[in-house]
Amino acid sequence: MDKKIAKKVLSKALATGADLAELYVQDKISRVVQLNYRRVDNVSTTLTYGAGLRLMLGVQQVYGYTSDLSEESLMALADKLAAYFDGKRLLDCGEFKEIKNPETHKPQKEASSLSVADKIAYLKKGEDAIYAESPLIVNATCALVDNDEKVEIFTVTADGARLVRDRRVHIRVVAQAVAAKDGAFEVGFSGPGLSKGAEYLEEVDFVEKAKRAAKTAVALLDAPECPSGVMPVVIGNQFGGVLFHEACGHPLEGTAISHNTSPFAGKLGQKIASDLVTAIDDGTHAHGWGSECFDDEGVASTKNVLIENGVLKNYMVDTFDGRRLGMKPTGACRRESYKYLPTTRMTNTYIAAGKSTPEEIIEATEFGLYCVSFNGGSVDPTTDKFNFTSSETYIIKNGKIDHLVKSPTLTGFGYEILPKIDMVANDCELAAGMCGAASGSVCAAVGQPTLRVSEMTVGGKGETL
Amino acid sequence: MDMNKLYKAAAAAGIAPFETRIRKENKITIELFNDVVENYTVAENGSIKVRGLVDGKGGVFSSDRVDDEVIDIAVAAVKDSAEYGQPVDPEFFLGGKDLHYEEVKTFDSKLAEVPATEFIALGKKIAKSSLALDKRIESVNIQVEYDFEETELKNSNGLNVGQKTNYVMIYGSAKAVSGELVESGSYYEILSELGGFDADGFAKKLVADAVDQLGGSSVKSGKYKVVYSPDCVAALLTALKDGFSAFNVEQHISLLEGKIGEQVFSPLFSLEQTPIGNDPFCSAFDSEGVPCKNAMLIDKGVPTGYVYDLDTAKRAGVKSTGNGVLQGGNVRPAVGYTRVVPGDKTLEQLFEQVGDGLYITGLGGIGTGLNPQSGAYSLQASGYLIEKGKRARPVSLITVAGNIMTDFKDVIAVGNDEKKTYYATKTPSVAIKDLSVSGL
Repeated sequence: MDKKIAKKVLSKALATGADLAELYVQDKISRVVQLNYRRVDNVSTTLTYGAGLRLMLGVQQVYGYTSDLSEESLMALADKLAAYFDGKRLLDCGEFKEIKNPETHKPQKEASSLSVADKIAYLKKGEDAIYAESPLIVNATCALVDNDEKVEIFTVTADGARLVRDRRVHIRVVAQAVAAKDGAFEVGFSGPGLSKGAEYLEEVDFVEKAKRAAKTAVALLDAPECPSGVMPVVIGNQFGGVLFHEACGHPLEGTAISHNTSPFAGKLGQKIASDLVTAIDDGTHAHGWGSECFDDEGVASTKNVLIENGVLKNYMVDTFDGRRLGMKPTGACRRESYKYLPTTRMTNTYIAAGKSTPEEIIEATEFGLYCVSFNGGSVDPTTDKFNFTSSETYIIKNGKIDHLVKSPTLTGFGYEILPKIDMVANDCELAAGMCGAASGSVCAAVGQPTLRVSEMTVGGKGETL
Repeated sequence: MDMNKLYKAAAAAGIAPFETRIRKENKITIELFNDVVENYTVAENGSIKVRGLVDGKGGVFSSDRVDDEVIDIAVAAVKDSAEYGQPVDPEFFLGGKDLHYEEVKTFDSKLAEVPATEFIALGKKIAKSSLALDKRIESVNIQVEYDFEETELKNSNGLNVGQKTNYVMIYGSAKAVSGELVESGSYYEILSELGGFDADGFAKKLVADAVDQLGGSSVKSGKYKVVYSPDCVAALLTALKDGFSAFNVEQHISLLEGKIGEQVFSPLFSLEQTPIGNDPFCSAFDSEGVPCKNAMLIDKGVPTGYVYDLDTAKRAGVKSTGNGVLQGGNVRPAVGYTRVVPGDKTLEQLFEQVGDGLYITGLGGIGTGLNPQSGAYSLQASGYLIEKGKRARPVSLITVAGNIMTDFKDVIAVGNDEKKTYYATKTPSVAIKDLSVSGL
């Protein structure tokens, strides 16, 4: 975006008294190669290209977006948004001060250097591994998605005019296996990804991930139903972190806190979890799936300790919600694209490692569930009532992993679960996920070590305990 | 974008036939926190999707950027995509002749003229009314969204069809507090016109959804007769709809493979696809330009047939049913707007018939807890006990586990309380027997 045009647009937008004006310009290319149904099923490219203009005055904001980036179109949008306020100009748009980008997540090898043929050959190995696992496999989906996004964020506040440029690259490989027997279907899935380039494909063992997905799908076919009731639940590392993401992460976002629609509102400094829980949202994590050098309102990403040894230390805060809260932004204001008004979102959110080993946790559990991985879940931030579905689940008996069961749903209230985390292992790892909320679907990593919740409500179709 | 230039560039690159799908969108969104406008969003946006054949293989490209600078990118991307694309019969790019489209009324010119100030006033009225109705309502969020969309589908064989759609969606959420108890509630309506909208009635339903749930607790685990609300029925039907895809049948991943003509579901349960009509989800043509038609999918419990696009129809030796949907890089058959044929019972009569059971009004985790391949689900649920034929205390923290194939076989009554849901299904409440409920 030409700085002169940005200056004219923001200047016009500020004419009626807004105290902040921001122009977000996005240029993103997404490439997908997918094998499905034993063939190359999808080779496609999508351009996401447009601008969002945001004005704030106190705790009101107006937003507009367009995919027409001509000066005429942007000036018309500025005019339309400025008309919402009727005051006198408070700010002028001076020269933009460009903030230096540390380029922490720069790829070593551009994903664009990979040909479609290279990608197909890479995925084919995963596809072959899935079908080779069992004749019960009825479909394998293997996909490679890479995004290359460039954003420019021009912002004018009482502190002056600034410009932030950020490039975000993401690469993700997905393996999904569907197994069928006697009319029943089961699914196994793996989808690792990072903010990296083509080099990631050499770092991840895709064939192993694909095999694992196939094994899970096949094994689930003969697995008995999961019992239901209240029981201890050991939750695995990596995508097991969806527990914290759902039960605690969302209710700690500024939007819920600033509107007092979260059970954690007004509880800074209070004990909300067991002593074993330290939780962090870290947008700075090098090459993390949810990392970015600057967030989508141009604030530098931070490593934000949310809970420390069970005590609530901070929230995730963006500029707008920070106005209600009297807090500074933490660099976690995000949006899927220019079509979304940005708001506080998680980046890479995880529970820090503890001192136990995963084996010690299993051994210490006489009877319970071991949820290795999850399909995902959701939460009502107002009540903190959450649910998530386990995708690979075992019964623990007498301190040993006993047998696989079909997927149950775990439910509860986040504020009740956090104090019940009674063992935390030392194997913290993160995993890639897509988080959908008010500002669209964003890349968000979840993570944790293996941990145990002393009791949770488990909904399965088996016997009631 | 100069469309002639795009078509010429495509032809020069050997892309033939060539298809363009242009979409223009206008949107106004007003979000109120209590009765104060907090966010106001306006948008004028566009996008293009192109599809074409290179040496008989299909390629695609899509972009929000719709200017001349994209032409070369689009042509190159289609060629790249087609190099590894699937063979597509050129005749699937229909010419414009001999196609007869039924009329749909998805655009209301009066609605298009409504100024943003009126939407703001409407939102404020709902918010004020909700806050005044019950002192236990601590806060409300009201969102009023106006959407306009114009789609134009053309191809180099002469196809030229288009449609305009506009609607308003009003969504409210409320927080209710009573002592230590906190509960949230929500309610929404999708409107094709504003005339007749009852803001106070909306507020009552929103407030009731939050306040009536206060103090909800679990129930004893076991088998229950259940009345599912329209939103719950529609959410569960998303998986059943996938079963009608002829493509899924070919791939042996359809729940309905081999079940056409059989009494698979309860005779009380009928499902119709209704692309022709006056609702915002309606469409006169599918992604391939084939005319859409209303048709029974399940007639008194018997699935009547699969849905086809041009490709699967040719393989099956039948005609396309007008269900082609462009998904990713391919057109695949999929069911769009549907309607569960309503029964004649009011909600209260459904409760009476159930006697003792559960009225489920909320299902959580549909995206992850419902397996579209098997139809099995295990979902967080909330609602009310039904005792002696009447709605009783609120119920929370339970999970319901079932399978949509057996659920809709076990239908014992269908209500007459139709609702247009955002799952693209219009449906009443449905009562079923013997659902596994996990609670205490």
